[in-house]
Amino acid sequence: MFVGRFFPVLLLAVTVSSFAEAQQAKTENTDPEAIKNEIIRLQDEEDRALLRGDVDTLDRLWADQLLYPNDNGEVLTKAQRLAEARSKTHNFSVFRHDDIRVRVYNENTAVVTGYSTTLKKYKGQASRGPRRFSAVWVRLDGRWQMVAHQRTDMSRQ
Amino acid sequence: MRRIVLVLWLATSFLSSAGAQNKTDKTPDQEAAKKAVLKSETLFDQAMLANDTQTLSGVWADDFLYAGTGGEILNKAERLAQLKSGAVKYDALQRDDVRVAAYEDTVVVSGRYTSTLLIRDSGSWGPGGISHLESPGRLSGIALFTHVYARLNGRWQMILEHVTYITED
Repeated sequence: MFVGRFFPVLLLAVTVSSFAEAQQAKTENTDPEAIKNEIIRLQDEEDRALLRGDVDTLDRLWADQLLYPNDNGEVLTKAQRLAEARSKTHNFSVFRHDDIRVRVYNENTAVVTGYSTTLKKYKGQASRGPRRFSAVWVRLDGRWQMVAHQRTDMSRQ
Repeated sequence: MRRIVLVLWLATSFLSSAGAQNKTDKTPDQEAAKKAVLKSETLFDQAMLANDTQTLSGVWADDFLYAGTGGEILNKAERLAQLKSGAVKYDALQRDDVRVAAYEDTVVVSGRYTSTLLIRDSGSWGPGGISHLESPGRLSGIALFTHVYARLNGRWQMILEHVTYITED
């Protein structure tokens, strides 16, 4: 009785929900070139956010499960990285990235590699590299987010 | 009317939470992905110690990238050639503080390696050379690594290895 009476309503809800999901999938661009452009734009956004110490933007760009091996031999989490940004433990003054390459592996995974001579201070110690870095971006819930980042300071190797 | 609104709200809430969980929460699929990737990681360590390039070739995707300890970037063919040359052999390899994060089509593994390398002939290191491995001998050290796997053609394959030495003796 109950099911019979509300069946049209349930049917409508299922249809609306499926339509919304299909629309979201439609807007998720799977063209590799479009993905590359999007990732480059997000990398730039991250650089600017790091420069300004814009924690809200970093919180949006970094995935909750971000893994970030740092120069001191620790694998930092997103919470630890955000805490560093808030406390300005990691200060960036001039960003310079070269040889940026983006590789798209499937519709949800992209890897960026590059070369950095960014001027920064970590725990009061200034460095300019050069550094080799890699960043991994994954599409989660229709939005690209950084899930891993590692760099190698070539001047220390 | 109130009943209709309630039923609509319940139905859409259920459907949207089911859709969201599929992407970010721990699902059986993601647990299975972690398990499959950790199995590949064991194979990878064993193959590195045995310098078994055939197994490594199976673990690595065709578009695999290696970001090495000297800042060099090698593709799959270059990295395999480097290991095949026998210029360097891993004598010991132990990992700790390993973290794994699984997503729909991607798995990230990060941690620390304590390793010992036997460097026989630094001259054949290949593209770019590696400044800190220029003299033959034994090199021990602790390195941080990130291994990234992607689901390609239904199979988990390593697409990136980034290694950074933290200390060396």
